Amino acid sequence: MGREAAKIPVSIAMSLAAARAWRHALGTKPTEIIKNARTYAGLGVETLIISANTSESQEARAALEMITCDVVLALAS
Amino acid sequence: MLVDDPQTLVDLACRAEEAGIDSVWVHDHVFNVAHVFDRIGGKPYYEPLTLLTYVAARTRRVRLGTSVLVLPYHNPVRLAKAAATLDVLSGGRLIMGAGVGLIEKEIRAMGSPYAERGPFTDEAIAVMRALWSQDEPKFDGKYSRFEGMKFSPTPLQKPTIPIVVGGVSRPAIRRAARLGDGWQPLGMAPDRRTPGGGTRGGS
Repeated sequence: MGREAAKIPVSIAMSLAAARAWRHALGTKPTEIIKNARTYAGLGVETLIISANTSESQEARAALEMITCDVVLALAS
Repeated sequence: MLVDDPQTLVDLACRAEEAGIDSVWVHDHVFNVAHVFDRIGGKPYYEPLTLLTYVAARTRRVRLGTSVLVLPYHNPVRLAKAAATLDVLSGGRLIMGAGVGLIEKEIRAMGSPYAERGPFTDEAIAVMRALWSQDEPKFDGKYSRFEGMKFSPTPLQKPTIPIVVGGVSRPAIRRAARLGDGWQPLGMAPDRRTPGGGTRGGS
């Protein structure tokens, strides 16, 4: 097709949940999420899209705070 | 994001921008059906580009993405117009994730041919790129035909808004390679990250 697969930018959408047989997920704890994020980054994934996997406002806010405070900072260091 | 309070959604996007997150993303369903109904029942599920336009007005830097727009739910000409408008209003921040969808009942309800959702999606991407990039857009396809008319606005991003093709089926990966500016698998394990890593069926 004229394009090298490895040169196609990849963004991957993942949920904050425990992995299931039919669908992989990032996990729910910062350590699991960081480990999975590093694995995807090592494979060349440029963007990790994280779904909070909830319809509750409070839970969504808590998930965002966890990602920004515990995950993003750890990945940046 | 399926939170039912729109103000919360916008506040979350603002907080994400403040925290240095690169992009915020919304999904696309018209009806609360299948897994959407299982998760939120009858709670509101907002139209993605309208929601992103609201977010765009409250933010300055964060990129605005769809993960993904189901193209068979949309008239591609109308969608090209809405997306270009959002791209201009947001200062060129839109990333269009696009896919074929898989809920037959919903696709049929939108008047699109379920069995042809793959070819429909391929053509919709070509239609939008033509409208966004050609001075006098012309298209003669199976589902869309136009010529001899100006189209505006065109996106701020040149040559077009980036289109990222979603999905893990072989056809989706091929579509990403042929037509996409990127590929966006959903819920894919790291050992399946390469196109040869095993896929599900699809269009």
